[in-house]
Amino acid sequence: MSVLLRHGVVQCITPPKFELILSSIDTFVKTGKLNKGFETDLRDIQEFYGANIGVTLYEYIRDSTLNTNDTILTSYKKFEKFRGVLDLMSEIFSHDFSKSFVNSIEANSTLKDLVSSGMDAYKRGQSGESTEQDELILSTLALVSKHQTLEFIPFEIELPTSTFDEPKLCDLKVIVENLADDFSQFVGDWKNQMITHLFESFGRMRISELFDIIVDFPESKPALIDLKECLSKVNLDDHLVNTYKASLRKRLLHAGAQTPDIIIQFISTVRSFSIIDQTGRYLKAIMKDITDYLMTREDTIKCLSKMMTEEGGELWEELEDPTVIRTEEEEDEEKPALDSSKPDLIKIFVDMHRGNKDLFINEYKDTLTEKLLKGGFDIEVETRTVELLKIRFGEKALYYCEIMLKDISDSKFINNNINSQLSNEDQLEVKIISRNFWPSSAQETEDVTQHSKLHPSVRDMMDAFQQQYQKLKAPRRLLWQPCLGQIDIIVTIGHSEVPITTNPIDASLLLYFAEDETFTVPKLCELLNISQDVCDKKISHWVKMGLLKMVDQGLYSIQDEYNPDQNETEAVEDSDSNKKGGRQALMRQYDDIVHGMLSTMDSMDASRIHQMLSMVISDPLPTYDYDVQELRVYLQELIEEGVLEIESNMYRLK
Amino acid sequence: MAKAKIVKARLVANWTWNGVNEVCGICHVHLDGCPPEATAKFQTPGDDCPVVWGECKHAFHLTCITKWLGTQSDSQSCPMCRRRWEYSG
Repeated sequence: MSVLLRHGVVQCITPPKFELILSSIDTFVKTGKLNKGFETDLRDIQEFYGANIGVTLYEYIRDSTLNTNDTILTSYKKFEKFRGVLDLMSEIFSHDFSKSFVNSIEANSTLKDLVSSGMDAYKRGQSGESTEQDELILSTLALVSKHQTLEFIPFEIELPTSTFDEPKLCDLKVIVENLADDFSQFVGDWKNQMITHLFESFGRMRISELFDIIVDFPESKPALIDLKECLSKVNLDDHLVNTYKASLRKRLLHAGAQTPDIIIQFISTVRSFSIIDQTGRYLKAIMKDITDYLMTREDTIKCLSKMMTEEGGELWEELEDPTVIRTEEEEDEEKPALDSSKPDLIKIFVDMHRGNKDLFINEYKDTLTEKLLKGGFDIEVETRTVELLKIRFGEKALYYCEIMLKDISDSKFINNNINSQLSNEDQLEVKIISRNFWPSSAQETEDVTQHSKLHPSVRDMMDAFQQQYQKLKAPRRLLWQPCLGQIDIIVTIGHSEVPITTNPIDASLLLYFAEDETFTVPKLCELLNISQDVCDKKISHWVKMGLLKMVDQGLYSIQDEYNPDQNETEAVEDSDSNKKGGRQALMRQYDDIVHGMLSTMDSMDASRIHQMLSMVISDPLPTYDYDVQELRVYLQELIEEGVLEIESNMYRLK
Repeated sequence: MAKAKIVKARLVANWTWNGVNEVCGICHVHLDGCPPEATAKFQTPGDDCPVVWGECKHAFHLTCITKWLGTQSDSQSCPMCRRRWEYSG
């Protein structure tokens, strides 16, 4: 009754029929049943009081049923219950009470509450199945959609991120569709728009995660297939391209990323994009950003070549794949690229270098040289790689590599032949190479030349071999390359036998020391025919290694007792002081060389320093086998120590 | 007393034709290499591309001198010194 009084409409007149209506409604609220004659009563009241009384009655019903603590779903269930009464009243009082009721449900909780309760329900729904929670989300959806504020749909933020290994979109579609049907009385024609919006919000979410999805490729294929469906339904092309470009800039294309990582992400990008888009338009839009950046890195070609030619490398399977083969002849005909679903990555990378496939082959030649000269006579793997490269790049491009392989297999044959006659217990193994066909790395280096002389015991073996070779292959002879190759020796120092594997010159030096007690540097220079600089370096190296010692000014001999612990302690101290891995710490031994180089050359970029180190460094320092990235880390260390400074990528002494 | 022994020596050597370290006077490719026709046929240096000497001590790729002599209608002369070409034993 207070309700009625509050509105003041019927303060003075309370006819019996009005009381009847109220009690009918109360009964209905309690039991769900409507008294007979309710409709007639309503009509009488309307005739007597006019339409305003309808509003009053409606407010009475609303206030006595809706509770602010109710969930959305409960409110909707109540609405369903009152629907008949409200429709009847709407008809009599010419007022849309059904709509007003729904509006007051919405007024009870703000849109934000709706969304967040929908989200909570969705979260709970993740752990177990609950149709009620699904309904709740969708009633939220229904409401939101009615307000045309679809961007609030919780899916956008609510799907668990960073799990891309199973499809999600399909389930969501079913939920949205079912619930759009269930709630069609509120949603009406909005069903299609809801589905479209699901595609849009889900698509945007996946696009925002695209970088990580591609990192996870190929495990993330299901997520990509979901994204593909979204992209086919709503236009997110520009959004995708711009978002991915931005994340590339932020996360990949900067100095902190290692070149192989950039290439791997690029490869995954190409493969992922071929799933979401067969026309290649996304790839085309983003590719230049990556390729332009990669072209600024000096080690790109090296990394690519390595990935392509190493079994199990990222591009190895591309090389192995017979379906994407373009032979030289086809290429010349300028055929339009076959519209295959599989992108031809190698072609992309060759095109990136303006179609200059020789760059790749030359890089591979260096790798091959190292493998062939360091390895044994078993070249099965290398032969296969060269075969695959031939299929890909044409026989002509691989001509030199073919000859290199043949040199090694010929050497095997010649070695077998000669060693069988020399009965030297296979102590000597010679790789006979065709100069002019091997890269310069297989030729003499600067400070140790062809004219260096090895120890007589090695020379004896060489001479015997030479003699046999000249018989076998007349009129040809061998030009020895004392700077190349390796000798395994065992040096007995005191009570220890120390196995050493080193280059021929160092081995010769140790062999001399092992038979005579002391040497001066000039004497050794004469014996080995090397410069004093080189000799000094070699001796200080072996002193450090604990094999040699200085007995007097300028006079050296072999150690009395081999004490490797001393070296290990040194090594440990080294790595501790650097707080880096042992390998990286070992780069410190190039301090002097780098210092020397930069004092003569003023300033150099990392690739030039890398080149110089690869060329210049020879014994006694171990072979320089670091990559540019490792060199950069090392140079950074020197910058931090205040030794160097860097300006527009050029390093110089401070 | 210190001593040392060699376990295994793995050395590298180039091969070369005895006594010549120069380009072929006909094709201007190093004698240790292959003349252009051989390169086109993917032949390998050495056994596939032998070198021959004349009595005049000039050396050429076998294929090069053969081709040269084939173009000489009357006298068979060395393209370098014009002396009569005789293969040196």
